[in-house]
Amino acid sequence: MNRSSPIPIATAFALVLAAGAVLASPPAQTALPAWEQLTPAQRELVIAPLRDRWNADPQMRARLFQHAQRWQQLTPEQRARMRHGLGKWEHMDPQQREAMRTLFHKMRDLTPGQRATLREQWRAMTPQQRRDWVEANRAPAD
Amino acid sequence: MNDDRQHPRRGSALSDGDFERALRARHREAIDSLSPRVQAQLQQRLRALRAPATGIRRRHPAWGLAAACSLAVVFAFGIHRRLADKNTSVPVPTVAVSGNNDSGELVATLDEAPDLYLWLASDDANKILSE
Repeated sequence: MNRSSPIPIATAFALVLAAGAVLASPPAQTALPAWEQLTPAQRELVIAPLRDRWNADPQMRARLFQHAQRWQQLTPEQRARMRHGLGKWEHMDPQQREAMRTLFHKMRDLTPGQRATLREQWRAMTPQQRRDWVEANRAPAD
Repeated sequence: MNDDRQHPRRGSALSDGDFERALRARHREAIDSLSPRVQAQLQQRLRALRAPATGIRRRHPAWGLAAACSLAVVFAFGIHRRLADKNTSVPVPTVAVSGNNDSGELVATLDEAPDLYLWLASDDANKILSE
């Protein structure tokens, strides 16, 4: 009798679903270009923390520069591992950082056997003994 | 009833309005004289004749709804694109924000010797950290 066509209703339903999908999905993040294609303002924005650090402490500049030179020597695979180590570093408290920094400086001059011995010694130490050991073997700033 | 109503065209003094009223009165009388059954049949046929037109009218709201939804989709898509463009024009410097270090990952990368971070990812450091 007075049955209306289901096509417009189905079309409307589909469009409502499509609108919902469009609104529900987050706006697509357009991939940023390579550094060379960034605008000067964008580059400025990215390096602002480093510039601030560089200007804030003149005593640190040689150290930052030396680290940047070393970073440039690393292979892409080493840089990836470095980022992994940096991730661990960021989750350490200052006391842990100092201990790991001291252990690193101590161990890099040791043979594999000596490193294993130091690990065993470290494992056997009490927290106070570890603090004393770190204090006695404190690494010089790079 | 007067003579003018019986023969509306005869009176030269009859106005158009009076003529129309006279015709409508005749029409009402004719309908009133029909039996209820015949009236019901006529009404049923009248409804059947009007049905297609009604159907067309009923389809209009559905197409209107579809058109409104189309506009909604276009509007939503436009808003979406504008937001995406806005994000593109002002990129978030994710590289400069990380963890507990206020100076950010970019600075932290150079704050310590890269070899220290490399060592932290080594087996030696893992064994010490896992204790």
